[in-house]
Amino acid sequence: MSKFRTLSVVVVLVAVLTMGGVIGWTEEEQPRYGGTFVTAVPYEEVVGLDTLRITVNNASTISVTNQIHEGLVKWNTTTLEIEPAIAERWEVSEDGKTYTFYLREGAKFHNGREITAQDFKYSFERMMDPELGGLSTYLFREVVGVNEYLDGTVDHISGIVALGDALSIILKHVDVTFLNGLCEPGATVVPHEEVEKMGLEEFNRAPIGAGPFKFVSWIGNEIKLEAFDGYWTGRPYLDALEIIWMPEAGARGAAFDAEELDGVVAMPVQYARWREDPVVKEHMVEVAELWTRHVGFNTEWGPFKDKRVRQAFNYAIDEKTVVDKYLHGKAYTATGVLPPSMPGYNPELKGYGYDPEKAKELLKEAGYPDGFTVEVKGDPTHPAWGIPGVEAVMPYLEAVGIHVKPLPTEYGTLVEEVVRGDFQGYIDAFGGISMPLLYLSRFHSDNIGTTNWFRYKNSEVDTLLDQAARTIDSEERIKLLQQAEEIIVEDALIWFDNYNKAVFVYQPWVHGLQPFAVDVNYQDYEKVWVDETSPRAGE
Amino acid sequence: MLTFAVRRFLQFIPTIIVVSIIIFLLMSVLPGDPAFLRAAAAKRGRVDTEAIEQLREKWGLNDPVPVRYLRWLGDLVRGDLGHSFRTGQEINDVLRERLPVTLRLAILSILIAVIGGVILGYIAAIYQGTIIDLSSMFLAVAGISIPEFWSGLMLILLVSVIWGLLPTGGYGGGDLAHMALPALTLGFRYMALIARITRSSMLDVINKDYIRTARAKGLAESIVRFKHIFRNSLIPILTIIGLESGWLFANTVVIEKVFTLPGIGHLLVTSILRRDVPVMEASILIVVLAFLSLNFAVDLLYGFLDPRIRYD
Repeated sequence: MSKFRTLSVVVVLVAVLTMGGVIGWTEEEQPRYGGTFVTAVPYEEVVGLDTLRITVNNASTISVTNQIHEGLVKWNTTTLEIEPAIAERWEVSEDGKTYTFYLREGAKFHNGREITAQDFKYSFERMMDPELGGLSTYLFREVVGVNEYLDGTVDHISGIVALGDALSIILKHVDVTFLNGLCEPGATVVPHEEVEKMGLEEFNRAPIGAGPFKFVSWIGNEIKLEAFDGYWTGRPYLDALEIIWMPEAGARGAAFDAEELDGVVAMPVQYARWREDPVVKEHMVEVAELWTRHVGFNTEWGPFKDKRVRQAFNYAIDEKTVVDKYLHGKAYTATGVLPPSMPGYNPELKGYGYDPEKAKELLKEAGYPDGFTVEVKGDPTHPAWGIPGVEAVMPYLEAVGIHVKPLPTEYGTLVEEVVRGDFQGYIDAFGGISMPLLYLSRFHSDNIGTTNWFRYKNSEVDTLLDQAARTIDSEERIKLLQQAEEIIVEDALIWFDNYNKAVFVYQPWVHGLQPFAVDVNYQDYEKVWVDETSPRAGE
Repeated sequence: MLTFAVRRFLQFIPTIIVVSIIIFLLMSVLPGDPAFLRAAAAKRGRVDTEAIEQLREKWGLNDPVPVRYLRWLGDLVRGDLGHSFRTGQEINDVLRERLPVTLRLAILSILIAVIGGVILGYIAAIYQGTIIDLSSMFLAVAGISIPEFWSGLMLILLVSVIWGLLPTGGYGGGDLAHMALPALTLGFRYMALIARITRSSMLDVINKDYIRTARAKGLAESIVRFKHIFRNSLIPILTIIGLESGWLFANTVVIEKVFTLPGIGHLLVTSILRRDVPVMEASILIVVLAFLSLNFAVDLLYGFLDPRIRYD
């Protein structure tokens, strides 16, 4: 009896454990191979699929090329750390000037040929070839021997050395942003035989790369890709990936609601709706994207020459209410320059907060007791970083005596005018890069005329940034950058508005999407899979 | 007739030259540097001034406007529209890809607009003052007043999202399932316009003496309506169809955005925003040509409809 009892207890226990195991198993969910994932990208039309002539601004394009092409290293789409890709590992010399990458065995192009260090040398020299009009030339400008190559006196760049499975790149100076740059689309590898066979224009329309997905077709707005069996981590889960350029937010939303899309980015109004939807609200990826939305001040113009006026602008506005009510919670209030998802983000920075009395006091001290009028230029349409974003805060500014005249300016003109310094104030966002040094470099006086739109000159900040650029130890570098950021916040060169909360909504059958802070559209689709409930599970 | 057609056709050439000069001049006063927009990523902290200057040189943007214009005109005469600044593609290839999309959309919408509009206007005129007249004119006013981007989205919401009958957008090779909603949205507005013109034009004729004569001599009402009233009111209807079809062609811009169709409209907007000068020139030229040829066709049709119109 007791034997039987023991046995039954054991049986029950085993049963419970197994069941628990089964439940645990389903909860963990084993990735499934197969199916098609369809997504839409906003922004501008895809410019081409050869990474030679795309810039980091071509976000729709990069959403696609990131799937087709592969470089030495890549960003981890969750942690932003630099990870091995076709380079299995790398070494940096003691002086910080020589990078040596060791290529992994068996990494192949889509045409089946194994990738060699020579292929990378070819691809990087192709980028620098003045005849071809490459647009990521900044990546390799500081490599030894580039000037001679550009002059046409030599056929190869002497600072890029391919030796067996090793690729060495020798820089003229220490450049701590170099490795990060190699994660950009401009540093991917292409097979020379295909480029030569197809010619530049055809390769741009139907490229052969080394990424997880192979090119299939590009008709109109729709680009179709399929799984590459020979990808270095093994084939991706999805059989196929379709990326459609859809510029109209309403149309994207409708296509998602009609289940034609498996996932898509949300705009503020859609976010407010989908957050209330019992199904969709469970299926959202949210991340503080690396964008700092702001009103930039021209420090060479009238009232904005005075730091107190710029600070008053910051004190005048209640950013929290703006984010909650106007942007439907689809943003994080800005407390400094660097967004929370950025390495080196300083949680000690608290921003200016909302204090209209203090704002009035500062204006009075600065000699504007009756306030002043300022023209703010901006994109006419975007709700968060365009003119509507300024109009939303005008009553706050009016209350302390800052009269804003919004000046809708078409975007093609705006950036150029701002770069030239032809403005009093403007609204925009900067960012889109995961390197705090580059992010803050726009406050360096050397960059007036390119990225220092505020025309800000502060030798202390310049020195800190220069020092950081030479500091190889990343912890120490971040300390220097945080010091610089503190000064920048104190000097109030911008109104610290908010950081975008990127929201990617997806259907219940989708798994493995990542909160990539550079751009949530740049997913690593080899990590994504769909279960059998997808209407496209068998396609 | 033939001499008229040829003469009218030859008039195209100066029109096109004048238009192309205007576009070129506009481009030269328009702020915004194509090379900067293409090569710089200022928002993301990447501006390579050397690369920008190289591009400017390559595209010949440092040359004076007249030189650039003559170079472009010379290429155009040889049938070469140049390459896109944005994509590097040959513009001839781009148009071969995009034009069928817009043409399909435009022709379908014009068909819907003309057939629907004439029938609606005809019925409204015949039953003037009745509930039929009132309701068809209500429809017409609604059609004119509702902007396409809104009616398009509402149609998508109803037909595609709620009923799940048709795809929400995309070209899909141009089949009827994909083209139905955009053509309906675009056609509806022009249908409304044509209906109103048809109605008022017919009402003008209905009260004419010769209609009373026709009825008095005992003609069947159907013959009076068709041969006497309708045919005589066709000239203004045709004029408006010719003019508005040109506008309809230009208005595909909005529809293509809402329904994600890869046509000329999209191309035009992107090329203007990105200062892709060669593509801009080409796509504006296409729209101008569409206008010209539609009006040309209407001019020829006048003669068939009204024998009193002479072409010499």
